[in-house]
This record gives sequence, structure tokens and C-alpha cells, in this order.
Amino acid sequence: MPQPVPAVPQIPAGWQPVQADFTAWITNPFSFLAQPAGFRGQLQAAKALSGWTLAQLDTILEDPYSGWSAVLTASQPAFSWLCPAGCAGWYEATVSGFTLNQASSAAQSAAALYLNGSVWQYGSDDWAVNGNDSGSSGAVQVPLIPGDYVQLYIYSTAAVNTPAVAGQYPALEMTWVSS
Amino acid sequence: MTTSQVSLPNPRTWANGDLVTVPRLRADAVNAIALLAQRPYFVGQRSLGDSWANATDLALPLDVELTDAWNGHLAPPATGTAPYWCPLPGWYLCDARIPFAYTSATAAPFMAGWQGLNNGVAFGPVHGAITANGSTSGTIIPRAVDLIQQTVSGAPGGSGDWVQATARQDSGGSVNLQSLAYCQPTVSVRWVCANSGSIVSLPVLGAVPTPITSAWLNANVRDTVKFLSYPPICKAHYTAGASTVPNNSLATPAVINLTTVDVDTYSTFTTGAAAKYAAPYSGRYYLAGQITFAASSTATTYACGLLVNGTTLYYGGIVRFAGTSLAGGASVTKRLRLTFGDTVQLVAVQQSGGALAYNTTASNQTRFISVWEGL
Repeated sequence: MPQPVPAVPQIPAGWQPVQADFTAWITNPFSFLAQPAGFRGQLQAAKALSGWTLAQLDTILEDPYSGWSAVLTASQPAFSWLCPAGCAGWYEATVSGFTLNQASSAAQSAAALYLNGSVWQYGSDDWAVNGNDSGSSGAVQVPLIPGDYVQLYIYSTAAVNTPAVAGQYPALEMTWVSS
Repeated sequence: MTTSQVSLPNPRTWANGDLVTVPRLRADAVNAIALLAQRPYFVGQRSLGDSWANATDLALPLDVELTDAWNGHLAPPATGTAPYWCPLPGWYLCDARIPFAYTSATAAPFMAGWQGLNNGVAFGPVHGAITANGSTSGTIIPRAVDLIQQTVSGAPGGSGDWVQATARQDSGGSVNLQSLAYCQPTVSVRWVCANSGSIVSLPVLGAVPTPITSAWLNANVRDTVKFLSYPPICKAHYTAGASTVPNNSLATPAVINLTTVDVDTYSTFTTGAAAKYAAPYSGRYYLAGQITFAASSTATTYACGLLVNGTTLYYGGIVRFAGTSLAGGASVTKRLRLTFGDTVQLVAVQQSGGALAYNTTASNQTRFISVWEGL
């Protein structure tokens, strides 16, 4: 069962602990640290790209803290991951963007993490291939508090689709790394 | 308790009849939770769009600190080129991404790297994959992910070990670093593993029994702390030889020959032409790799990816290379879920028309990195 980010337990001197204390001091904190909040999703279907484009992830590989929504809700826009209650901290996201052949020697492909609707940081930005599909991957560090949401955006200079090819699926993968 | 007072965990083995005292719980559980929930972790940036000289590895100054819970970096404005001083011995996952503002159509190589001091011995700079650009689009981001050991801890500015990001461009003239708020040179340094530890299984954290037993404490405190402070991590690289990558396609990439293991806490890496890492434990893994090829003048595609169990591909960079007698490469960074025994191989693609050698300059390393990050 997912647990919140642990606070450092305060164990009073002389305390006579009961089972519930050990659950709070040991079981719950180590459960979170052994399975920190995270998320992995991919965009497997071909989607049109035009400049910076929201990656509408269609395949959620894991979301143990249930932060993902593919539809607009009162808390988050469609295709976003919402930082769950109790899971504040620094996260590291690996971002991957892919495009079909842009047929230009003056094109780029890139991937970025958006935070609360605005670009937070580029994770990668590479010279796109002329004659092949292109790919670009990197990592972004981002501080989140409950209610913040993040999204994957992909950049393509030319108006082409994402490749619907295994091995080249745009992806957002995140892990909580520190309070 | 502040994090800077936390030491590496060394949890006791409990025996029947041991008193479960407050000092013992603080020493074993509280200390470890404090460390693992807020480990040494630094994220910093360079915001000023500096002009970067040609053909020199230069230390990256960091004037913005986004987080530095253990105070390993001297706070701005006294940073200068100040590195991150090791506050706790162990292995650090270091990631530098260095956006350059480069608009020329003349292809040039760009590099991020790491240098530092380990156990008093200087190393580096060692580059990430060399990144070529001539797109005229304005920004290119070379990256360097490395797993770096630090042995001697100490205060910032002291005599302890340290790491520092570097940047380089060989365009023939100066090039500015990018200064856009969302595209600045950014560095992260994160403690991920102790320098030594015990190989144990991560127990299933179970319900608390009545009464508390030594077996429960050994599993839920001792073994859990030992596993989480010494998890599966691995780094292997290619030591200069005569290896080449054949002309190939994205559908049939070549496995990269990795010959030297730098760290492998669970001893599951196999070196050689079919080099592979076998997941010693199920979970979510951070995986990174890079290849830099020998100098070439053939405009082509370079790509780098991960191959799981010999069948499932995950590409990272699939990039254009062009230039005159330039080195270039590609890298990959992913988080994948691996099951115990799954194998991961670093793979590469190049389409120059013939075989292309790995770069043999020590600073232009080809390497693979794996870090277990959770169930």
C-alpha cells in the first residue's frame, strides 16, 4: 500500500512503544523508501507534432500512486501526472522524444518537462537526422508539492508524426528522489 | 537532527532478549530514515549565458542553487567555479546538461563532462557522448551522466573529495551558454550507494508482531537499511581497444563492447563483446549509456539505446552527425522496470557505410550505468 514521504521519526526517551508505533516508525517509512512515488508512461500511437507538442501518453506502464489522468479533472489537465497528497519532494524525470524523419539537415528534436502548464526545463535537445527517425532523451530534476502537475512535451522542427514503433515511443518516467 | 549530522547506517543484528531501547531505535531506524529520505542531493544552475572559449574543458560555475540539503556547495555568490564537496562517502549519480546557443551551419562538437577528486586522486574531465550540431536552430544540449565514487568527506572548500561539471565546445570560436530560464546549464549530484555494504534481500515489510521479535527487527530494520543503503548499482566502460560498430540500422543495432567494470555491487555484469547487466533484483532502474565514435567526416545517423532480454529496444538519442574529422556520439537515459534476471545491453547504431571504431581517447568514454531506485 503506498505510503507518504516519511518524516524522520521522533522517538521520545522512556517511551513504551506499542505495535502502532513500530508501524509508524519503521514499516511505513521504509515502505515508502523501498517504493517511492513514481510514474512511467509512453505514447505508442502516432501523433502529429508541430513545434512543442503535448505528448498525450496512451500507455501507462506504472502509476502506483495514481497521479495520472488522461482527462481533464478539477485538479489537473488531461495527460498530466499530479503530485499526490503526502508525496512532496524532489523528483527526477527522464524524458524521451521521438519524431519521424524530418527530412532536413536543419532540424531539431527535443523533450521537455512542463510544470503546472509552463515549461520547466528542457531535458534534451539534439540535431535531428535527415533520412531517419530522430530521438532525444535526458533527465530533469523538479521540486513538486501536492497539487503540482507535470507533462511531457516533445519538439519537432518539421511537422511530422511521432513514430509508432517499439523502441521509439516518447516516454515520461519519474521517481521521487529526496525530501 | 539535521541531515548533516547523519552518518552511514550500520544497523545491529538483534538477538532474542535484546531490549528495544530508544537509543537503539534512533541509531538504526531513525538515522537511516533521515539519510534515505533526504540524502546528499544538489541541483544547481548557471544563469548568465557566459561566453565559452574554444577547445578547452572549463569548469562550469554555478550561481543558482535549487537544492543543497547537505551544504556540499558553497552558496552563491561565492561559488565561482566551486565544486560539490562530498559530504558523505559513497557513489554519486552525477548529471550535467549544458545548453549552448549555437546557430552556425558548420557542424561542431559540444561536450559536457565531470572532473574531480576521489580519495585525493584527481580524475577527468571525462565527457558524456560528444554531441554534434550544425542545425542553425539555436540550442544544443550535450549531457554527461556519470556514477562517481567519493571516498573522503569534508566541508566545502576543504581537503575532501569533490566533483565538478565541465563544458567544452570545439567550434573554432567562442560560443555562449544558453541562458533561457527553462534551458540553463543544470547540474545534479545525488548520493545513491555506500562504498561498501552487505548483499541482502529486501524483505517484504510485514505487519508488526506481538511481541516484537528479533526476527522481525532483523528483517524490517537491519536488512531493509542494509539493502537501501547499498542497492544494486553498476557502471562499466570500454577501455581503449580495436572495437568497431558495423554499419547497421535502427532495427538491428550492435551490442556495445564494455570491458571494464567500475562498480557492480551485486556482481551481475558480464564484460565483453556481448556485455550485459543482469538485474539482481526486481524494481525500477535508472539506466544510462553513451557511445562516442572515432572521428569521421561522413554525415550520418548515430543512435544509442538499451536492449532488454535481447529483444526489447529502448532508444534514447537518434541524432544527426556531420562534420570534418569530428568525433560524435549518442546517449540514452531511461527508467525501466526490470524483473530479477532480466538482462540489459547497451546498443549503438551508425550508418557511415562501413565499420566505425569506438573513440579511444580516455576522456571520450563509452559507458553504461544502472541504479536500482525502488520496487
